[in-house]
Amino acid sequence: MTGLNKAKIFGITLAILGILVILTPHLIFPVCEYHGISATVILPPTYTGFVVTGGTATMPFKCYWMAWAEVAVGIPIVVSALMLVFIRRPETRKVLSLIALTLGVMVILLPTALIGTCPEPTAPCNTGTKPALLALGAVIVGISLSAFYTAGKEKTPYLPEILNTSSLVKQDIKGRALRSTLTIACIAVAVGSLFASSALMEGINHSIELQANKLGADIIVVPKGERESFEHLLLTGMLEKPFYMDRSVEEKLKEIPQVEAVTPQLYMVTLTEASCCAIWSVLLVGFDVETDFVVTPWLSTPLRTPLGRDDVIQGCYLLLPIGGETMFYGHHFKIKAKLEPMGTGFDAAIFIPMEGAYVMAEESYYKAEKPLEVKRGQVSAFFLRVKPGRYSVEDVATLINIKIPAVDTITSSNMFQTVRTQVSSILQTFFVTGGLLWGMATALSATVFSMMINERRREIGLLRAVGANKNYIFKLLVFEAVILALIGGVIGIVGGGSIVYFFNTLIIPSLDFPYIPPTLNSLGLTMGLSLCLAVATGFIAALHPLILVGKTDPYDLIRRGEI
Amino acid sequence: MIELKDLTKIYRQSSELSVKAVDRVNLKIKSGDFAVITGRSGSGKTTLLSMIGGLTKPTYGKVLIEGIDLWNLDDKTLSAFRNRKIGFVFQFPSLIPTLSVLENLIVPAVFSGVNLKTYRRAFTLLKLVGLAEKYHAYPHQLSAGQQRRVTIARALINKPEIVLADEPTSDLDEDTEREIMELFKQINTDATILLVTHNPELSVYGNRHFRMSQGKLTEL
Repeated sequence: MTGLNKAKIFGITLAILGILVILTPHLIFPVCEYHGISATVILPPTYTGFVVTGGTATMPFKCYWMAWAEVAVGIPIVVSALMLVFIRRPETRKVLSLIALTLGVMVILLPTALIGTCPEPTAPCNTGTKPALLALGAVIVGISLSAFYTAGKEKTPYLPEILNTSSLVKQDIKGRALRSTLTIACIAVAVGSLFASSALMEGINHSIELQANKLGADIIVVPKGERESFEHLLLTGMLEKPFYMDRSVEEKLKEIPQVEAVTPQLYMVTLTEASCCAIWSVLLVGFDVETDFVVTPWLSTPLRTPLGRDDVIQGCYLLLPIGGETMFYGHHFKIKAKLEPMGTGFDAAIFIPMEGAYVMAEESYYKAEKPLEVKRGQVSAFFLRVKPGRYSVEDVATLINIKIPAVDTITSSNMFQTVRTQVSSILQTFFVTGGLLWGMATALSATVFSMMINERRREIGLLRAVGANKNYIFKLLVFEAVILALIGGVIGIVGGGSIVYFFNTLIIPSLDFPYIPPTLNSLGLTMGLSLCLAVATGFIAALHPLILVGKTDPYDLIRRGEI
Repeated sequence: MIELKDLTKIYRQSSELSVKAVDRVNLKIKSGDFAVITGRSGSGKTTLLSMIGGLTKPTYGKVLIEGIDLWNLDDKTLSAFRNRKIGFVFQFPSLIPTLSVLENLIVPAVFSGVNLKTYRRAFTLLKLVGLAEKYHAYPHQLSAGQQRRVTIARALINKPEIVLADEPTSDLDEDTEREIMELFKQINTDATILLVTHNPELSVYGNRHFRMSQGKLTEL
């Protein structure tokens, strides 16, 4: 294998690794700052927690910044790797290998020395992201060294690359940089906008689906008129005003034959600037350990011993040490476990066994700076599972509303109706704009290809004169169109990804919607479809001028090229 | 080697107006001939040459090369035939601007298979046309004469049996014209040459001289 071919393999491998460096902290092994949603944890001034000492600590943590620094390092790795593929001069390749080597070292240093990760060893950034980045960095360093060594060994002056169809295409793309850039830009805009809108649409649907499903309940029963308060709580984790009802409702619900399981929950919030609470303004959720089917399925690791009265579980956003103690309303609790991200407001909540919650409320009258106005026997909501059968969830909800007039029912199909409408109208605008842009980009690409083929008529005629048949010319030009479209497609996906990120961090939080990005599989599928769309755009754009060229005699093509 | 039978090309400009560019041309060229076709501009020389080379479809008539009816071949076979048997030198700049001199030279070989031998032959041909030092240059870095030399070298890369040259010296000074024509004489030792030119003086380089006028061909 020649040094040039080895350099191409090194370059392609490094480019893939660079892309992995970009994707790892965001998609493959995401860092703690879960999918761009920031949660606020207010700490007492004396608290020496994991975030800051005293005052208000707002996520993201430093691993979040490390993740974005890795993107900033990953992009030049991809660029230098691609240059390694195309550059022939061994001296230049040596320099590029050194650049990639330095960037590989940066990949390692960012999570270890330069920025670092969260101090908690069990945090996702330490268990997944950091090891993956260290491994990637080590491989990048190794490959860059090999590329440097191989380029250094090349003593003979380089021969021109053996000319073939791909090199003809490559030379043409390079030689007509302006036209190539314009085509790439058109396709990138089209693919980027459609990719972004599709990915966001997927994400929204995914989130809504998860919201409805993750609670594991078919129906949620809340006191009459508290529906919006509950939805707000579920979305933001903030309890605007407490709402309670008598637990006796549970018996009435159990009497309904279509109800399979019922579990209650009680919602409270810790005090602010009170020494009786270790964490301020955090949602406390009392739940029935015996009947629960909502909270415990989300445990990150199974419980070794049963949950005691004073054992609590923390949501994924909280980083209290497992096994450590905490205090709410003067009552001491032990942190027993942690939940996986649910993508709801509950991610920043503390879950307390119902009995523990009642005791805490009772003791608050003499232990806390302000008592908790909750009576034993009061609950905030019931989560219901409906038996599979001839009655739909909506039918059962209607039945509950008739039988128990003092409650409101929420089903997965009518949950977050306002948010759904709000988000879908934004996305519809986005999608329509994307579609229009795609149409315009296809038309513009077709014009550019027509101009290109017009400009190259003589060249095409010459190729035909020296032995290229119509089929070859068709393949050559389609190949070129597809290559340009693919480059545009990849750029579009990266650009669209940035739009998705912008949407995630700036727009979604303003909607108070716990957005969870689509799964890696569906994102991969969207990327694949976007690339197919890019190729199709290139193909469609090139088709018409190609048909015209195919119908013309070679000598006419050469002669018309003179005009 | 080359036989033309009633070769005719009519360009239809409208439903009523048509121009007979080549009118019932009959011709036989033997292997090793250096045929020079002279005639004024618009006399049909270039059209005739492009029909012989399989680049323009005749309205009727036949082009037989080694007994093969060129215009009975399908596109793929005709292209392969052109690639192996015929070398073209056009009257206008015909190098691909995005490729270097060496790469331009290699282009015809792309369709028959490029290997290191092709590169050796390319360098030999570049030496023959006196441009070995310019192998890495791009067309815009060469003079018109140098570009013409490259196209001649390119025509020879696949060792064709026939070289078709259309006004190969049209925009060159006298010295360069002479050098190019000497080059064709040299090439003629291995290939049959059919050269069309408006300059009757160049007929001295050939062993057969034809005159084309208003689409009709006569041997002088």
